[in-house]
Amino acid sequence: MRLDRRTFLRRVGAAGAVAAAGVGGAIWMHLRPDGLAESEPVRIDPARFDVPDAPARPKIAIANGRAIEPGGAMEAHPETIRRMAEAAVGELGGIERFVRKRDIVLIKPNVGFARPPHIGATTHPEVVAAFVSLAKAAGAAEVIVTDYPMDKPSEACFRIAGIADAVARAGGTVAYAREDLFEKVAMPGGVLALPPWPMWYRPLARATKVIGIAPVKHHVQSGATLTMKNWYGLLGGTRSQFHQDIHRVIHDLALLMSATRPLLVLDATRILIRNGPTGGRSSDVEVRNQIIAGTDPVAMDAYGATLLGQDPARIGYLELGRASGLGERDWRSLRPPEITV
Amino acid sequence: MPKRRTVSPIETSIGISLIAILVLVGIAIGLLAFLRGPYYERALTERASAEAPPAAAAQAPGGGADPLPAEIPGIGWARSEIERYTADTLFQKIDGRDQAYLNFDVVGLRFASYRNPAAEAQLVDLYIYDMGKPLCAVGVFGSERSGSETLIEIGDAGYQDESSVFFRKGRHYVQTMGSLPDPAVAAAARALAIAAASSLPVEPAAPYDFLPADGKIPGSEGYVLRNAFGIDDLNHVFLARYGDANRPATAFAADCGTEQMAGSALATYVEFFGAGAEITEAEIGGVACRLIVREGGAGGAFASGSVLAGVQAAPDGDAARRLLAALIGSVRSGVPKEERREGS
Amino acid sequence: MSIRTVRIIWQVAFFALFAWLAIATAAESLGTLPVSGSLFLEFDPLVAIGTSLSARHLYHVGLFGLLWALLVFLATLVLGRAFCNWVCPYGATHQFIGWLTRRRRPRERMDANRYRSSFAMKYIVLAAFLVAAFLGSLQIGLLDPLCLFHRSVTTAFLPAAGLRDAATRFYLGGWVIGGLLFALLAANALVPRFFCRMLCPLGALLGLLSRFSLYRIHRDPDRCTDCGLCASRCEGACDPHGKLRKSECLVCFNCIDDCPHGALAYRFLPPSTGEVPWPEVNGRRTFLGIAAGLAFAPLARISGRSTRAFHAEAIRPPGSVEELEFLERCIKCGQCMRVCPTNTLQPAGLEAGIEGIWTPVHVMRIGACQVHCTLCGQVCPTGAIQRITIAEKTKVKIGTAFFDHGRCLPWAMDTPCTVCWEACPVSPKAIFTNEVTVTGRDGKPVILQRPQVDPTLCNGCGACEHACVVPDQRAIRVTAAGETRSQGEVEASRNRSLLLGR
Repeated sequence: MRLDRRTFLRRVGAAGAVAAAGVGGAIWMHLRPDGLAESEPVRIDPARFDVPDAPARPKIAIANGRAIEPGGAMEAHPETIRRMAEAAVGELGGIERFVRKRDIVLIKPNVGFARPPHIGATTHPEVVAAFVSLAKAAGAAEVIVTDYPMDKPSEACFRIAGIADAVARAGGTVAYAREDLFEKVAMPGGVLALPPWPMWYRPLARATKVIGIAPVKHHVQSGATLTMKNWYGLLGGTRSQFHQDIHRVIHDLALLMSATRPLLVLDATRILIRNGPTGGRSSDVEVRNQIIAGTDPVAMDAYGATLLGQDPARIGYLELGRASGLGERDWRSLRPPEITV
Repeated sequence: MPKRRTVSPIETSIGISLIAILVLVGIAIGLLAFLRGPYYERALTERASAEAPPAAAAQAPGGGADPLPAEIPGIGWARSEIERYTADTLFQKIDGRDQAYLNFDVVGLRFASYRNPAAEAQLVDLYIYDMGKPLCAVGVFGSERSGSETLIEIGDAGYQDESSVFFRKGRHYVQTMGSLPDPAVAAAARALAIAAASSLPVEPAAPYDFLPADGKIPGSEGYVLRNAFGIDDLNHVFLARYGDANRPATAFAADCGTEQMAGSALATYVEFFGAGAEITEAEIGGVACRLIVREGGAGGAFASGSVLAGVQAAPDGDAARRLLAALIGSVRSGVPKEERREGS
Repeated sequence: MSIRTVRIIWQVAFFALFAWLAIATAAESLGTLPVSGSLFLEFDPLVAIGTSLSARHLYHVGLFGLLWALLVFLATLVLGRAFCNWVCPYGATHQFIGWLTRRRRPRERMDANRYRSSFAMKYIVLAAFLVAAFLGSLQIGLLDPLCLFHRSVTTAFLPAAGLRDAATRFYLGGWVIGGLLFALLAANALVPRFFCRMLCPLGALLGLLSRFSLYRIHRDPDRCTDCGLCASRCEGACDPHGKLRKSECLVCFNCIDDCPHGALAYRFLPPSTGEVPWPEVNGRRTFLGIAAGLAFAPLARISGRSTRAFHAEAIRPPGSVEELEFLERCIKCGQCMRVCPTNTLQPAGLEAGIEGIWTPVHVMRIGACQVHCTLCGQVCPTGAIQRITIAEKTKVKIGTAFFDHGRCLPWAMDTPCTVCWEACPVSPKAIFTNEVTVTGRDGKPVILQRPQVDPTLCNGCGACEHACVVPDQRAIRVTAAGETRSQGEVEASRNRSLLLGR
């Protein structure tokens, strides 16, 4: 059978097309990067968080709650808590200083463990709700509440701690951390040279304001866990390694988040005075009915330490914060106003 | 059985071209070697460092002939290629032993091997360590000795041990190590050492007049750059040996910077060395000394101004006192202070 | 000289090249060896396509690397599966065994070389492998002829035959690998070219490409008498006497010589008697193959052996990429095990999970990782072990050593020993000792140097474990904890670092 031109062209064409596809594909694959290079870490941009300075205002303010439910319930009434929050922030310049219209506010409470609120291991849900509604009232477009708990799954922690419910009632949304969406964030290089660390960064990437609400808890290793250590909950990766150098890590975490000019809140409605950070018995918890708001992390934590009956001078990360200029450890010298509602 | 078929010329020529291609493939594989380079890291076999020591030769004044001669004069063994190492790459040559030299801030090493062409097993290795400063050469030289060797006339101080010769000259510490305890190899090591010594530059000897001259074993001067006697921060310590070469006593002195630091160094020293011994106070030559006496030997220490000085391993309490008295006198003129270097 | 003779010359030449490389690629040939056994692997299109699918990258150091596979790819598009019978050393070995065990009677030979539908199995195997590769699990090395042959020769044949440096080498589980090789070679006695026809995924890939090949065996119907003698030595069982199966023809040219009427030739034309361009594969079975590939990759990850539940003994060679990327690249060729001077690299069992079978892991009891050696990375054809310089290697940790205080002589038996401390090759040493004096059983004091590991300095080289005098389960053992290759991983389950910030 003679080979006609058409068959010839068809077959050479077919082989040629496959050859071209193969060569093209191979060269493309050959030139592609090998996917092994480390990606650039994310850097927090302070310019996004424009909270104005208020030199005339105190750096730390304390609000006490008076009303306690008749019958001896341990928690102060939600209404009272709302007024305490408002009063404390009011002394700092009001919520308008910290949240403006159309802001996306990120609230970071402590939802580290799947424990009910009365155990005192997590932030009081009503305190979280109070700040969510305060932020919404100030005109925030969105209020996101997030944490990356130690216990898993996250949904159970938020539910059992009562935070999921409280946030929903107050009109905010909960962002559940997903480890596969973590990103490496450049560490500030304060007292430790930490490499870029995996962080639950997504909500922070969108936020324009940050509020950290930490419960006042005794901590077995670092003495106390307050506003500076609260940020630990945003970090992922092998964060259990932090305990190898806990005080310097806490200092650098606070330094990292200071770039977001956060409104810091200490939830002292209930404080965990022993067996922290997880507690477990109601005798570990003491009712204090206080909410403290401020912008100076070292002063706030020094005050919180005093509430726990500890000497701030003996807490390593407070000494580091004082020495590095992160804040003022002698909170009394800041003369915090104290109001009772 | 397949029938023999006729092979067409076309088939034969295709076949030959295919064989030719096969040969070309073989050549290409050989060429690949040149394109790709050797399948190993040069450092593995050649063991040479990429950076030469920083102009060490230029710094040293004088020194006409090459301290690594092309062959051993008078014997004729030829030299191998010279290997050069810096402080960072020293481990490639001497592995974990590099720490011993790093403790004295070694700058670099030049190494070459001299082999007898007539007898494969006979060779001498030449190690020339540039210690940066003559004091550091004194230190490392003293640290590698037992103290009882007989000194020979070579360099600033040196000795021969079977087929190896060790000496120091100026800032350099040199070892020539023979491969066999054979008189021919020993002679070669000696000749090589002498040749190296004659071409290394002369540098002013470290002054040791602040240690007593009486009874000092010649060539026994020593120096410790850092953490002497296992005590942290006891640096820049001068020492020398006295008395019987087989059981020498040691006298040491160091300037601690301030009187206060000398005092606290004295306290640390006495605590360290006095453990399990009888400690007494004595006044010698107007200086308050702490005497440390135990069954094996006696010693003592004192602080005078910013100087910490003392005696170790004297045969008995009286000998210790005598040496201490001499020491008190000699350190009066002052002990050289540590230079404050950047990042030291 | 017929073309068949030329083919035989080529086969012998490439087999000799393979044999020489297999024996000569040893650490002792440093500096004199121009290329390593990985040469064949770089030309293997299945390795190129497999790693492209799994790692999305065609590895190369220098100019070409796996791009060389294009040569075989393009040659197949012109010539068909000539690679299988002209170059492949494994194929040549099968052919040789098949020839040794060939049936005597022509009738039986022709029957043995009939096409069987079970030969479609290799396409299903290929499909399963490629799908699994796409999902991130590279298993082609199990059956790829070059990977299989390299691995079997390295871990089984050479040590068993006691050739040169391999005479004193050990390879854990080498008997399984060798047994597989033996079984596949022995199968040629039952079905000639059993592996090539039935299982070879590379053959399947080239068979698929042969669909477009320009040249094939052409049968002239006018000369053909249907005697069937062309099948008596047909290597591919491709029915040259009927409709030629292009995907099965191995271009051995035996049929051309065997035809008493000269009816067969190698032509550009498709035969008028018809040909079967595509392989005949049952759609249902193909689907099963694809499903198996789809299921394998995620199922293999469930054990967590490649992530969180990593086995303590899954210590990868220095320069290795992170584990999940490693499993996308390692073709289990055994070249690293061949060239490793201390014999420490061993084929894994299930330590790295089922995906990691026969990938390299360190067994420090057999050998330690030499500080100034980077040979494994230099012979790895796919970049599972990256090529690093010795200077870069000083920053690499492959694990950390941990003491077993119940077995260590100075800790548990009041017996002095400091071998691990002496053996530690880094400077300053990663093992340090504290001197204690204890009262021995006889009431006399015993001075002991109790060793400890400094994890900031330990790089996991295993010199300590290898030197430890406790001969069975060593008193100091290295695990993969603290390895630097997974340090940068964002997900904690993939991160095996030990110390903060290191």
